[in-house]
Amino acid sequence: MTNESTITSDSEIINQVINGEINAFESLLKKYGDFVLRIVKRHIPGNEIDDITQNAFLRIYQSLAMYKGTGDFRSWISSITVRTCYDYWRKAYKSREIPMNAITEKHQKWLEQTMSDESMRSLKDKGGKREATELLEWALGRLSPEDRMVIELVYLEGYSGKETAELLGWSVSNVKVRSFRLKRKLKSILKTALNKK
Amino acid sequence: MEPMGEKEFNNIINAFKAVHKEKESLEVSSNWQTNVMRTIRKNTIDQYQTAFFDIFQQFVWKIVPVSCALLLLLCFLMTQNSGLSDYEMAKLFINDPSDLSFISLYNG
Repeated sequence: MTNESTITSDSEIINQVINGEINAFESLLKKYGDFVLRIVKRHIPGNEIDDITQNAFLRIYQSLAMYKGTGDFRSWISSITVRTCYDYWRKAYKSREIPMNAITEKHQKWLEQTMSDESMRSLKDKGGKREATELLEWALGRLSPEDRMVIELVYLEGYSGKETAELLGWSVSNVKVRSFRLKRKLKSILKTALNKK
Repeated sequence: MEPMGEKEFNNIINAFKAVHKEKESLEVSSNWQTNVMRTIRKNTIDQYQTAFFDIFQQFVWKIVPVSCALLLLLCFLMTQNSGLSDYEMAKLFINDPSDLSFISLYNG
């Protein structure tokens, strides 16, 4: 019942926006703002979150007329947001603006500790979290924008191949083949980090 | 250093999952919502202006060939008419004795 009424109210708002009532979009912004923001925060560096969230919402606004109203609006929104994040990385890779941290002994120590630690004790202290975040960014920085998105969606967020394909607008086989190869690639990157002098 | 097997790799991935999830708690300013609405409103006004300009441009470009054709026609008519009028003027002056004398006076 609640879901049905939500769908109705969403479609009502969408119709109002399409018919030129720009202010009606504000209620969609308020309703889905945090949801979109959370997606952007997961994929985009901190200093770019504001801009990319704005871009995502502008895209949502511009594409509203193309929303058929048959699928889940939330999934439609998340797909646009994920594609906006992917476009950010494509642009960043083209202009070579990828932040790269250097691997230090601390990172290597954290990696060694985590490998043999199932309870994730290495994340309990603040330093451990920082090293993990930096190491993750370092590893992701060595991947293409496509591979980065697949690693984040499949391995770090637990989406299935089909869901990831829908989010990115790719074929399921493309995502599955890529994610299979990526496991080996990520392993090799982490081994490089371990052996780095 | 131990080799990185499936279990070791999964441990690292699990730790990465945890830090990736924690990115959500990052604090950001709420200005972006205001900026979105401002940009949308501005874009809509720009769109109206662009639409008006587009219509105007379309109209102007449609008129261009017609006006060119008209210009050519006018040029043609002018050359034709001016040639005719010179000839007719001369004919008129020559046939009219008073005017002829007037011309002859001028010619010395």
